Amino acid sequence: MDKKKTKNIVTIHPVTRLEGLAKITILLNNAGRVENAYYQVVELRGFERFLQGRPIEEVLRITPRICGVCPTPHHLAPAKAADQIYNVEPPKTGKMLREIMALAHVVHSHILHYYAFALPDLILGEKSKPGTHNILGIAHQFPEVAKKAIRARAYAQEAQAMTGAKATHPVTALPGGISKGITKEDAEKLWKWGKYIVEFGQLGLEVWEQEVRKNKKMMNLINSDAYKMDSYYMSVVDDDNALDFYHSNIVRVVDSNGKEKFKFEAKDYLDYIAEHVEPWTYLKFPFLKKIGWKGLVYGPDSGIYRVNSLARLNVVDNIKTPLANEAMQHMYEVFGGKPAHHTLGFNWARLIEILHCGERMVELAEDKDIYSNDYRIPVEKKNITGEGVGVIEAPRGTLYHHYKTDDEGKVIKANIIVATTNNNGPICISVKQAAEAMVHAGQYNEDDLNKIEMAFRAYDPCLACATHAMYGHMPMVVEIYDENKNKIRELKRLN
Amino acid sequence: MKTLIIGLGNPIVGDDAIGIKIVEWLQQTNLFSPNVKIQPDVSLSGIGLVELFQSYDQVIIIDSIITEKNRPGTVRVLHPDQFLSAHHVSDFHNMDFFTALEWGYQTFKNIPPKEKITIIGIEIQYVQEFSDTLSPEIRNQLKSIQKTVYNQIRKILNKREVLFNAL
Repeated sequence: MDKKKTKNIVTIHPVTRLEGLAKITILLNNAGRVENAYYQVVELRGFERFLQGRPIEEVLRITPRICGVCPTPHHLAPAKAADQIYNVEPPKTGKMLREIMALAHVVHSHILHYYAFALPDLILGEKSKPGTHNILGIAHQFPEVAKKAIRARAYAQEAQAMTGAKATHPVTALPGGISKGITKEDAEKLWKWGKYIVEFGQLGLEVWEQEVRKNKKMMNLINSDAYKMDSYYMSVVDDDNALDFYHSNIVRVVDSNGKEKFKFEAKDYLDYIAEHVEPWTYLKFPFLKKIGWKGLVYGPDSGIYRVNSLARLNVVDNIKTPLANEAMQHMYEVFGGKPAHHTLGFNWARLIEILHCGERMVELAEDKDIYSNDYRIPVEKKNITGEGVGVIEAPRGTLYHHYKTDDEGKVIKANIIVATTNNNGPICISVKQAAEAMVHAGQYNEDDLNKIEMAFRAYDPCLACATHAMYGHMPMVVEIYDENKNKIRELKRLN
Repeated sequence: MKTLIIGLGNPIVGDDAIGIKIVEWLQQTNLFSPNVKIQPDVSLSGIGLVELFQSYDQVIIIDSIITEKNRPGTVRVLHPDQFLSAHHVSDFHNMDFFTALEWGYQTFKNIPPKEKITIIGIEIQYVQEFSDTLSPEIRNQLKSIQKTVYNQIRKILNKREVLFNAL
């Protein structure tokens, strides 16, 4: 790669359809040191207006279309809001089937991100040229792991299709429960798929242990200050402060020492979360209202918080499935305590969550109530409350869907905070941290740029939902500007 | 020859739904033999899209495109080498369609060869707001777009797979 870099702006942004929608700009000073980093997004307009006047039941089928990457959480979070709007508590079976849908989606999403996008960076060595770090490299070097990943992902997809009626854009959740149940034979399939995912989850952690944890160079990178941030962390937790992807409406925030800072019901989220607006991006910056916005900085005085896999594990006291809980304890031993602030540790936490989801699927499949016919309680318009806030843990973090309706259940107002939006500030900070470590006196190579992108990728950012669009692809372009901000070089990085 | 026709797009992003609407219409016409599977409403990309190709001999994708070189409503036939400029065929992060397709060939034994994968792209303009209706410009051309797409598909398919030669 070219080493001639005494310039003061580096821009990384996607090409093809996302072009113009999102980019990362790194500003260098005259000495070639990183001065600042910006992560900019342009979003489609008018989603609230688009939903206005539509019955809340219809909204559940529309919101999954916001995102081609994580449609299931955008089905389940509004479903929980719709339950509140109709003032109804779904029966146990309805909740169990919704949870299966959520767990299967986490597995499906985490496997793709980790094995296709994160693992190549972690085990394929330094990136010397574009196109060397991708799923093809993993399939070549670890063919058996790749095959099992595909199978586990396929099972997760089938579990989503079984409970959601459609594999990609589920349609079954309704206020009061779910529109279709499953049979005993279906439950047996879920059990087998869950077992396979457990085995695959364990394999993934073994591969991590052998190929990443025992790789001193990689662990030095993971443990380096360039990839650490002492931030607040947010997640949904159950009544015992344990990991919970679907059921609970309780949100917990811990500080950088792991001490509980806030705990609130999702319906009160606006008392705890505010959104800062910057003129250079359409994507807002959520922050902890009671701490305050102090700019793109972290620490106890900054209201910036993180969500997603590692944040979840940092927030919970335990995981109620044994294998995942044990794996979590091991991770914190290696990281030197809890919470861990390692941005690249989000990948390790994803593997632990895959294992947990498999274990939990098995537990649910073993409960005879999962194939009961009591999966929905009919709703009545006379019971409409006019407001609901649904919260769940999507693969990428805490997802809020908030609706106000009229007496007929038609939407008057909608507000959605998606996971990647929660992480907007941290992503900017992480990119800056990595860039500061990799770019010296304006000098960097292909591997340095990839390591900057690793900080970005660790969050598994889904611009598709953060931008309320479904254009889900992010090939990169690096633009280099001279001191007068004239572009003098463009490096396209399409795979 | 077993053929899959996919309507790709997002039904709530205005003209981005044109591929879906065209393929919904194709499905209603009953113009194709049982060997032709029609899937009108697909909002997938990258690996997710390639996974659908399994067990088909050829795939035809109807999608919206933005080249800014043609007026809205123009129909273009694209091949895998041009996929990077198409709308939905790439995945998030750094997974472009070409990589996903290569991955598909390595992973599955039953993905059709590149020469049997075609995208029929319909030029649209950038959509800036959510909407479940087409713009007047595209809506007014809908019938001619339908006919052009159908004729392109007819050229690609085996004669026995099209029950009628013309609309």
